[in-house]
Amino acid sequence: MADLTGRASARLAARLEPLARRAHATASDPVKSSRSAVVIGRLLGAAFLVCFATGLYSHLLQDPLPWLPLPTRPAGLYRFTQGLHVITGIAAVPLLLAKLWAVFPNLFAWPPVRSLPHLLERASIAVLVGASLVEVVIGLLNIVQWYPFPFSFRATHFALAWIVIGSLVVHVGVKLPVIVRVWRRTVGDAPDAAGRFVTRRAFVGGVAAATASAVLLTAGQSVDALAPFNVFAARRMGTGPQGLPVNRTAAQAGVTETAVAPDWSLEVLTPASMHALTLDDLRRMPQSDVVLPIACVEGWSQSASWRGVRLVDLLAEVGAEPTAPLVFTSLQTRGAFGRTEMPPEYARDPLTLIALELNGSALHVDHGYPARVIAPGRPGVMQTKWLRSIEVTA
Amino acid sequence: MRIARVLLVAAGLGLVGVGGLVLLDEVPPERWLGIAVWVGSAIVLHDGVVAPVAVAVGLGAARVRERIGRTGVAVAQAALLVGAVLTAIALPAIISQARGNANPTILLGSYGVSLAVAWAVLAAVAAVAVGWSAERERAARDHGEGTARTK
Repeated sequence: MADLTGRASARLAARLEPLARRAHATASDPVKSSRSAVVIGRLLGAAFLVCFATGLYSHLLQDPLPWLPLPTRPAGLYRFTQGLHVITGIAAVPLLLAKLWAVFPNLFAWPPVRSLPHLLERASIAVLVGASLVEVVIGLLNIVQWYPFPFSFRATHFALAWIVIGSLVVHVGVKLPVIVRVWRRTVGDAPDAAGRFVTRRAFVGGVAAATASAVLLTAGQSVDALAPFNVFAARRMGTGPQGLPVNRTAAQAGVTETAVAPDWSLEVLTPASMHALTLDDLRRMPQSDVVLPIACVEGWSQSASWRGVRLVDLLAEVGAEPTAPLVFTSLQTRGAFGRTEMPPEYARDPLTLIALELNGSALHVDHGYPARVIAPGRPGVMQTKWLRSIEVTA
Repeated sequence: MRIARVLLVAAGLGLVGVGGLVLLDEVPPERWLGIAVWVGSAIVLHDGVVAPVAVAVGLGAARVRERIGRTGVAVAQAALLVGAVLTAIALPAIISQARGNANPTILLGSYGVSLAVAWAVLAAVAAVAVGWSAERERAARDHGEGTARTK
């Protein structure tokens, strides 16, 4: 029996080997050299590291660690990190395709498996390639709010990020001799032979042009200077009610009636007392003006002028001092962010407002009328709209 | 080097392990199959469709390079890559826009028109480069230098 399967597999191998060798030869090109793989891999690796670091920061802001204080300044920090996350993710599309193009012939290596380490190496590459492709694709789908995949975006994107970075580190470890050889080659050594499918210059130039145009035509949703070139991004600066885009409208949040109810009041609960502040109460308190960005997890962002009551002033009014996370609840009945926590460092920052006005007029209901949170350096989803209550815990 | 490699592989496996824990912890088990199917399909779609198409384009380019000249082919290939990447970015927006969104402040662009314009510009650039390059190649051949230049 063992002899029979042995012979069958030998016959199969004899059939497959010429096919694999022909596929390898057909796909090969001197431009697809180790040097190209290392050069493009370096850029792609840097892009993935930037995405990983900024993504981790975004998750940290949404689920803070109790012992780790978060920076409230610069006020545009999250606008920068999350804009960079999405811009770099988009730039990774051509880089990932280029990297896979440069190594594609290796798919047909013969024999397909030489040893156990070789098998593990190929398995780690399969994980790296598959997870990277899915990570980039679902990222692109999320920024246009289209969810054709049978799993939740947030948790899957987060889990795959660790798997991509981990298998990338494994890959660097496995390929280290090749990487070191390319990095240590002397300047001006013999270049690779001329390309067959494409010249080296056209390859590098094409990838650079594709990366540059993808970034240029989308980054305008978060970078003011590039707004005129924003052709393909999901969001456009200066649009929406009061000239500012919205992530979740009042109708989507199910608050069209409750938000405009005349008997609305903001409940402020402290360990010692309970207060109900009407809109007029809030308007009678000292008002402050701040300029702070709305920066969405989906990468778009825009600066805006807000007017309202400083949170520190409001808390002082009710005799509370923020030493533990504050809990904000919204009138919204749908969506995951109807209840958010604010670490005390944000509550103490004088830029943090219970905003009543945006860009010179009362908040539009889609922007959180009658009152919303606006704090420096936080994701838009944490800037709770349609406030119902603030709870100060001891 | 050996120590560095061992450390990198160990650290990488650790990070993959964190990803596995996040999957176990935050993604309900009934979703795992869907993720595995997407990861597997991504590999199959790339290796079975995208990469072979790229190889075919390369084979075509190699065939016409003698006639058209290096520069023309290079510009055409770069234009094709730029167009393909812009399509990959614009297509989700086009489809999502067609499906509709209850939020009137998202997907406001004319993505289909913009993509068509982008392809038209790229095609024009490629056509000019190919025309210029082919003309130069023909002139070189007429002067009897053809065999020396094309390699």
